[in-house]
Amino acid sequence: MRNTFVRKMTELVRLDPGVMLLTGDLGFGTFEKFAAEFPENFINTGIAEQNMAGVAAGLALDGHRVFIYSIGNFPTLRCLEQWRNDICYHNLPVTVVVNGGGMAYGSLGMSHHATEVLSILRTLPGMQVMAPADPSELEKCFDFICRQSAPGYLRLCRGGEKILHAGLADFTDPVLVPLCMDEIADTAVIMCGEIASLFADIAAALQSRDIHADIYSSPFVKPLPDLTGVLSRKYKLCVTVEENSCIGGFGSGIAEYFSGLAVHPLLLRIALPDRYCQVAGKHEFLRDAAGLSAEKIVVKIVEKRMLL
Amino acid sequence: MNDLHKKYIDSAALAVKIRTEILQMIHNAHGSHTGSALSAADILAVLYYSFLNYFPDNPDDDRRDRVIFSKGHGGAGLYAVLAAAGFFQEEELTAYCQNGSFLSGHVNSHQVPGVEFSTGSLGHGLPVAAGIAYSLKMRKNPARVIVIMGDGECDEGAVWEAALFAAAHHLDNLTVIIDRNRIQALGNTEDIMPLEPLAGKWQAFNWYTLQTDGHDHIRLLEALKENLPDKPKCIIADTVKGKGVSFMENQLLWHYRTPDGEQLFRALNELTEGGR
Repeated sequence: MRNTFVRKMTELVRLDPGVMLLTGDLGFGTFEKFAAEFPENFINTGIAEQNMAGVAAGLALDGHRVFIYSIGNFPTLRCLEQWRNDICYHNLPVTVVVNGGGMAYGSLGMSHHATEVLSILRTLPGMQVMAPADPSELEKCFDFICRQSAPGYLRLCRGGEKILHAGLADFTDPVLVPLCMDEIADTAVIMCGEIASLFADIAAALQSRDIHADIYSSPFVKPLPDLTGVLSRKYKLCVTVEENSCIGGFGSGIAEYFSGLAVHPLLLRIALPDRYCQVAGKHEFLRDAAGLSAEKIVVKIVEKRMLL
Repeated sequence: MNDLHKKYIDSAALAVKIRTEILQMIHNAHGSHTGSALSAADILAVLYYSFLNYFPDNPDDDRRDRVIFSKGHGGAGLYAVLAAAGFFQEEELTAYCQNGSFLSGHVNSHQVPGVEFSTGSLGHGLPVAAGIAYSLKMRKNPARVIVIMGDGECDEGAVWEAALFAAAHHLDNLTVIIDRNRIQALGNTEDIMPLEPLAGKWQAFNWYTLQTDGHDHIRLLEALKENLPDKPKCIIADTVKGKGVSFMENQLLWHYRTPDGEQLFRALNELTEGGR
């Protein structure tokens, strides 16, 4: 997704020479060409995220659309108050693009895992929070953000992500993107972020157990995607899957929405447990340890269906 | 020639007006931070009377100098000078801190003409100002960016992150004025987190650094007019917390206390006797 992001930035700067890209001294091998071609539009602000976010606010106040780039929690939680007071309160068009969503930086350890950010940023008024599943969703999310004048968060994974969609339509509104549909589905699985790349394994495992499910990707965490389609299909069970804390994230957003309805499907939220990852390991290993492998996701769905 | 020149004989007279309004506003609102607002009154008076380019009839005019009032707790003084300069009616100051008013105790830019940016949490102003200054230079706009910062605020790490950035990018259109009143929330700055040598710190960060009496209007204006190409500028303005009211001067208590009716009467008397 990172390469897609740089390509989108390059296209955007050619259209709008006022666009700025700031990095907190990260992105080796990624931004060199952009920086050489557009030196006026690129600043390496050093290892100082509070300043980077403040400078971004200042540039935006003076008329620029600004993107800031870093990894993990650094450009969000390290400088959360700059996001709250400087960028969001003033409703400035600053977007933070973060590599290493969830536990994508696996063995680097918990310091580099972005596992609570969806929850925390979602509480900031005016903030648009997005976790695209693949490069094609990223492209549409990027375009969506560029049509707004508001703060935004774009969560990437770690490069080399699978392409899940061909010919994706523009996101004119926050939408769910179908990944796998079943005409007699009684279960909806809504996956948020790159973890949606597991959808084919999940679909196959559910089919083998004779469970009929529609699987969607939701790149939008805030604003929430339009759920009228999901509700009209009268699923018995709605499952959310995200590589983010079980507290406050995408699934919580759906739960908040459902809590205002008289009738809604039973909800199963699958997310990271409320504890830190203390061990090293590859991304897949850590996902499995946290109960987020395709197999463990399916087991949770099967168990929940016993309540139906 | 701006509106202030028609209303006030000089910047000292404007400073008396700012202090009078600060005391009145904080008394009406049962507010706080009286001492912090009073210490910066001369800085604001010199800036708005003698130095800044601004356009009350068109507050967003691109030629305006940008003022970031980073010590947002002293905001009563900023509101007072903006009203005096004609950005909004002086009567509106009576709404300060009242229910539903946009004039909150810490500086709010929403719906308040002339306020560039909302502040209150310390250490936010300088990074934002550096971003604005960077952008103005990119756009070859000669407007200047002025940050008014507290000395206790220099405890914040973000201040020094931005100090590095501004020097690295040669932001000579950026000036920081430190209101060096030497008192922060729980006591003297030098007892809590010593800042000295403060000028030496800014010099070491490659800033053109000046130190002057923050209540001497002539010297303040001289310092504002001095520049060194390619360097951001820091003016350490030595001030007295609570300046202008004898029983508030250098008293930590007046970081918090609201003047009651009798204290307000005494304070206003002192100001008008001391003023012109």
